[in-house]
Amino acid sequence: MSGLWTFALVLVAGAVLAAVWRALRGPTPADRAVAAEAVFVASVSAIAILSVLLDAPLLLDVALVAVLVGFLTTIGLSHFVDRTEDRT
Amino acid sequence: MTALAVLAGMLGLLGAALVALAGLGLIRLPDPLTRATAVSKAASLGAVLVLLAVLLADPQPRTAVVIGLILVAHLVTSPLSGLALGRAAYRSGTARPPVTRVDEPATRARRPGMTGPHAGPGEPAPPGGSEPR
Repeated sequence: MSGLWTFALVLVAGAVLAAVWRALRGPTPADRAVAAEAVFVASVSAIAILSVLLDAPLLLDVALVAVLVGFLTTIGLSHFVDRTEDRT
Repeated sequence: MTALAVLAGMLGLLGAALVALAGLGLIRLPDPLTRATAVSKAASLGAVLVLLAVLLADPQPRTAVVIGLILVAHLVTSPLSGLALGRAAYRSGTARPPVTRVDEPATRARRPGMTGPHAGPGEPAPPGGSEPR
């Protein structure tokens, strides 16, 4: 049964790699902010999958904190994107 | 019991596939607005499915409480962050999408009584700057 979960973790890792590629590639700051949010959502999924794979239910608390921190960071990044383009 | 575990595994795999689909959209889609759409819909639904699968794999009361909290927080904050990202991408003028023809904020700004920071490309900027910060 852990084979399915391992494959799910590999899929989520692929999504993180795609988001990192988009963040490096660009071309605008908005793309990088969107890639950052994708990394947040994928890491919440990865933490939840790891809590099953490692049989550690306490990791779900980490996922809860990650959701809230990810939301705040995304709002901050979107303000940053907004202001950056205001100057140009 | 085993059937429940298999169901949880399949649901988790489906959710992870949706997250991977959002990653694919992040690579393939042409402009920041559509990429923000891919992340805020597909990846959010994928995360919700993964969390429900974790609950099915470990059906304890404490797990149910924590996963319920995560689901509420995620379902409330994910549309908000997607909206904030899309709005910032629109307001930063570099995000003119080449394939998206509908420009709804500019259309709304042309209505009388609705001036604001969303004025279209051909519109004069409203006097006195944009919204208060």
